[in-house]
Amino acid sequence: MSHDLHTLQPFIDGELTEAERAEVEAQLARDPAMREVAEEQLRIRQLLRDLPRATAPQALRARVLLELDAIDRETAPKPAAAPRPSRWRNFLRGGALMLPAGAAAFGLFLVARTLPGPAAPARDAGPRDLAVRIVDVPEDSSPLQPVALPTGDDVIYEVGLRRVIDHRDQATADALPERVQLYRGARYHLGRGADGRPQVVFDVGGVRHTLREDPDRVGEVSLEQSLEALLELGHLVRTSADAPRAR
Amino acid sequence: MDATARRAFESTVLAHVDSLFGAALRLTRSRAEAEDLVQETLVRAYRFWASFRPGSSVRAWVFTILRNTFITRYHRQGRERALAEGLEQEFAAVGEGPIAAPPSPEAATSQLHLREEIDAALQRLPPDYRMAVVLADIEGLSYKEIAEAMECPIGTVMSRIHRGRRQLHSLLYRHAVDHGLAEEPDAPVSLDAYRNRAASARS
Repeated sequence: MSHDLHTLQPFIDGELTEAERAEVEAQLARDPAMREVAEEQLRIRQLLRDLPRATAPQALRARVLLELDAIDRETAPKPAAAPRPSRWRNFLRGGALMLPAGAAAFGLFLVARTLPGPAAPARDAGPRDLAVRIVDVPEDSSPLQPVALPTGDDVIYEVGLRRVIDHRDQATADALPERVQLYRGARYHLGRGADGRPQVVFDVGGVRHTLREDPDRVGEVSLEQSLEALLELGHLVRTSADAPRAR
Repeated sequence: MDATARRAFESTVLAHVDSLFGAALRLTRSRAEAEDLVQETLVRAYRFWASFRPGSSVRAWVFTILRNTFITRYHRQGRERALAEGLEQEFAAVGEGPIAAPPSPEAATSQLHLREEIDAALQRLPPDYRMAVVLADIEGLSYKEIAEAMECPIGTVMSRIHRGRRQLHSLLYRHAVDHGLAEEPDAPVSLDAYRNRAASARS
């Protein structure tokens, strides 16, 4: 590389000391041709700096986090009696951890079974051995009774980049999604929100909870992953007296 | 990896995901490929997180992985040669061209969606020039960081940036001439011309 470039280029890119910079500026003042070369470089540099910055899609961020989880699982030591992972960890991993239950998740929407009577009692299944059964329950079979509560109260659960909105409203006996999922001994209604994304609805103590993932944060998480995560969070909300941090 | 390392990785490396995606977009020319490239880069980075030297530039480190992953992917897909040849042919067809004649390229091409034209011109640079220019001018890395990311001396970085910008200038100006927005210059100016003039003046 020529001597010219060694001094001119760092000058353009702001990599010179004040003294060196002053020296090059003096050179440029004396030499119009050199100044022209410098101006050309500066012009292109400025054009590029003015370009809008790209933003990575949220779906990409979510996928990366799931990949990191998978690596953590691969590399985690496997003692004979491994400690039970935290419930929040399970939630974060969501459906990505549910490969063993892939067939069950597949059946979640593809295999709808109509049972003649009330839903069979469910056992307290862990998230890895989720027994997915879809039953069609008439809307008027809901045993819920309305309880007066303030409406429109949203609680947001956040883990890493993932966010779930728990919309709390007054429980009513109608308008529940028809599909019922038995999960850990409790009933959850599966449906889709106005934006087409899956949501899980259930009632506790007269309060109707509608859980859905924040589309701005989670991106294109698969249906199975989303439902598994929502069901697990529903279980936590239902059973925990000290629910995870809410805001 | 333990929870502390995971938190450290997320706070230091994942903070650069936008920059990585921007660079990947300009390397691959496709959003889908850029996403795959960034995902693979971050997975590799996580696997080798223990090898990162605290105190050194995490940006340089992760961009090194991005570049190497990009090269590996193209080798794997058997596309690198075709890509390089295609770019070479494109550039040969355009040629170095006249440089630095008024009106300025940015003014001349302002009617033609300047940003799109700049992006298109960037895509026509040889990959090494493009990467050096993108890292310096769009992502704001220092010469030292770029040298580390591209695994080459700082002098080479300066040279690639200089030549990349010159080619961009030429491409943008040529585009303006082709669309009748600028006239052919009658007095080409380049660094070589500058050197020649300076040499004859000294003799």
